[in-house]
Amino acid sequence: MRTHLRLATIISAGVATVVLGLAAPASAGRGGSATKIEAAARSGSVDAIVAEVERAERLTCDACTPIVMELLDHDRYEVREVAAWWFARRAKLRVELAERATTDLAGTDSRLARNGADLLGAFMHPAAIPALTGAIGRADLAPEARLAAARALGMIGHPNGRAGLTTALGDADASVRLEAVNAWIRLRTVTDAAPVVALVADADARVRAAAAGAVGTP
Amino acid sequence: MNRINSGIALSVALAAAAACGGDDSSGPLDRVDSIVFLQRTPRNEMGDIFQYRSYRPGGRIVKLSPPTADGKLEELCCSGAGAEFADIDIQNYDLSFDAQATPPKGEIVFSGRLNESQSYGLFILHLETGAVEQLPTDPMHDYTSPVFLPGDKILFTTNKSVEEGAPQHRDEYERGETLQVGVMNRDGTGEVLGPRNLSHRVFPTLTSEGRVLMTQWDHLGMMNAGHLMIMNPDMTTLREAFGKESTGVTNSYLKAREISPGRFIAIGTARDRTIQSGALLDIRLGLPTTDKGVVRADTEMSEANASARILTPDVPLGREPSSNTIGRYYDAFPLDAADYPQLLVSWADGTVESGTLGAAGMSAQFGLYVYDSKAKARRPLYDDPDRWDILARPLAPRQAPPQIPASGTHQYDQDTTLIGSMDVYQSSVATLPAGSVFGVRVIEGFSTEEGIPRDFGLTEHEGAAVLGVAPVQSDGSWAALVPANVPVHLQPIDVFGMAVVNEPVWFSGAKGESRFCGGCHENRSAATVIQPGVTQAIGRGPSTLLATTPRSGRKSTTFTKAGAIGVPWDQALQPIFDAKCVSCHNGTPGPANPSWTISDPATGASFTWTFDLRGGPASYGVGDEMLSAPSASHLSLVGPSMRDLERADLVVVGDLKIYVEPGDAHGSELMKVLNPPQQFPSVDMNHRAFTGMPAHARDLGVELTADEYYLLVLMADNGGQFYSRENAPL
Repeated sequence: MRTHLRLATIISAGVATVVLGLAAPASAGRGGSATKIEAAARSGSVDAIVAEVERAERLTCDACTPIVMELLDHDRYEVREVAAWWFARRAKLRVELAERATTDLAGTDSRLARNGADLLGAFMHPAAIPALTGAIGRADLAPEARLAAARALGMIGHPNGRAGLTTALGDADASVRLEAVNAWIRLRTVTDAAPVVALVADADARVRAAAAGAVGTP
Repeated sequence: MNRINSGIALSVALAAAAACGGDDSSGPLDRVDSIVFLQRTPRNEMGDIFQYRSYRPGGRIVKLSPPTADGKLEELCCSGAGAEFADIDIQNYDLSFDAQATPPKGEIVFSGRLNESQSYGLFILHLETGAVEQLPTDPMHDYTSPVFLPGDKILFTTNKSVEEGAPQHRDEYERGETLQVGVMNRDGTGEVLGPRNLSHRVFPTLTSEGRVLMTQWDHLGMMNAGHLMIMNPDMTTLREAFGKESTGVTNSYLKAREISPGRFIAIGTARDRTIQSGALLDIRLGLPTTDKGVVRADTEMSEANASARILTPDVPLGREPSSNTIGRYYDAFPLDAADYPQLLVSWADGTVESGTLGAAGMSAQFGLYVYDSKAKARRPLYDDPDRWDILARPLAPRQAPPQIPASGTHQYDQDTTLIGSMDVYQSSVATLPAGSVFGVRVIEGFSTEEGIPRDFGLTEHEGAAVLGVAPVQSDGSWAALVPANVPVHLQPIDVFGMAVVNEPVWFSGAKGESRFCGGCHENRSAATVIQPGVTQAIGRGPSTLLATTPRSGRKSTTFTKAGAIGVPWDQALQPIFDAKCVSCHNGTPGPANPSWTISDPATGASFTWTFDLRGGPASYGVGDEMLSAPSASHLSLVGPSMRDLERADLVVVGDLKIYVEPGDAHGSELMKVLNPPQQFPSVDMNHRAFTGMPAHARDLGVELTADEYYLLVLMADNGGQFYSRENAPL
């Protein structure tokens, strides 16, 4: 934990030139606070929110919890993802939230199911694969929830996600199929693209393009 | 490095012209017929400085002729290129060496994204015809920041992995798929991807000597910053250029462009919240010399001689909001090479900080200006209020740099990389007495992309796999063959297996590449002197450190000194604790198990932890906000982060002792207590690391084996992580 704060000045050609100091110490995972997260959340800036939640990576901060908890239901995926990442580092809440997300995935509220899928994806633990797979096959959930479940399987990247993604590749909604193609190539040790091949002739141009790319990806 | 280069072209030519005189009405763009620049739809979401996927439709490349406020603006690309370009966003571009405005000639290569569901690909715009061709890049991956290289090649950054079948590295902290470098032929064929860093590499730029400078995110332990690196165009021979070893002035440097040999203009800024913009820095890699008004800095280039001049002293170097009339700069292009250069810049006024802008419902408004860095005066050139005007440069031919031939390859297995030092005792970062280093431990790095659930154990280190130890010879040399394209870092170790220095950066090499250093972060301005002839390490042949073992096979076979690669806490260490420690160290308060308490003065809530080397999950904190510790033993030894506790205004009562200093076994209390035995060249249980000190386990009659000591040393030196490849859920 050395802190280098060496400052120096050099004189060059008769001109005072400010130089050298040290590269500002790493700020990642440092300097966060509930106040800063709250201010960032109020600003509505995704960049600011993500930066401040990241900065509070390991901050022991009770006051942060309700603020970050609210971000799990943010409209933007990037914010939900970083909020879940923050909770992934907190033992007690991580377990509670994973249980809640699993319940939400089995429920009928598509927004909650979407949020639950995003949280489990961000946790990256393969124990969530059965719940995510189950959600993908449910036509009663809105496409955004099924899409989130497919995305989460890609985030986890475990080859056991294959079955769920195979289902998602046949989803009635093109956005789900597209996400499933993108997730498929993230499955570790899965090198074949057989279930994706059919989508090369998909009705949706975006899906066709992605499928063609996935088939050609080693 | 001292080569006089003819490719400095425009900036130096203009500087020379300026030095020869000119009237008061002349300006730095007087000799420029046209400038070309990029227009993007304003946004308040770029991500941190390493992010590249930001997308808003409406990007275009335009030309301003003449480059004056009343010049004619002409769109070069891409509304006329077809319907599929209607929603394109353009991230970056480069001009071919022969590109010119009148008559139109040459090409522009650019990185474009046709719609939100696609990746960034590469395109060529033919200036003469206006035709656009898409290069055949992998549609499932992004290709960004293209740069023309001499010899009809294009260098780019991409999130495609060079290792077939292996996922691209994801930075453990920022989580994005990292960008790395690649090269292809001008027609998109012959794609070659470079060796990987564990974090991003962004914003490459070509130098007049034909090399490539870029920003690399160095992230290992406490190191977390964007430094400038320089490499050959074949992506070999990567070297540090600026920002490391206390030469910098801020956290990160990006969008560098050469002013003159050894001298660059770059943006200096914090890692996030600044819309990838910041202050203007005149970075000099060596000692400055002046000739006919041209100031260059390619003499004795080394980090020791490097310096930076802040050209915009009022612009924040951190992430704080900038103020009115100060703003922040998105990029800069040098128009001359004077001591204080004239610059073509993109600048936005006011608060260029994402949070403040977001709260106001605004975006930064980047427009084009000419900046006189001596007078600190900015003159407006062009500003479309509905677009960002960025990355401007003269549309004029320039001389191509010389082609640097491909680096030679080593004489061993061409699927491997040869690494080593001529004399490990020559170091600018540590004092290493002759004979103090037994060997150099080589550690492979990886991150969550391999299936580790989100963290490796709450220290700041990433995944580690020990490839092996290459012995240091009596002349100080060492050499090893390691897997190609794999990020590694080095630890010179003593006979007890403990690191005497922990190199804080990752590096990697291509297949067949030889990456030999003078020493261990040797003084870069001095020659490394070795005995005549070949080093002993090469004479005897390099150690082969899992050089051809596939990634999936780079796991521990046994948890012994010989077989340990990763040190999964629950598999490799917990059995030791269970067998030899927990009979005493079991969470029962007492002399063997000191306690500490965290309390929150505001609420009165508290949490008490008692030293416990048993397994099973554990957590710490106050109230709901409990941080995780993978196991009781991990929490007891590696402990909570004191800094974070202090920042949270929590009070610690009792004996909170951190027994493992991540990345530093030698400095860890655990090692001082256990006093590990000699491991190399052979085990000697009677020769202990800390002379005259007790050896806790031995003295209590529960002596650890040499292998067990070594596993604990490895754990500490490699960051005190809980997870390794061996205990990933996959």
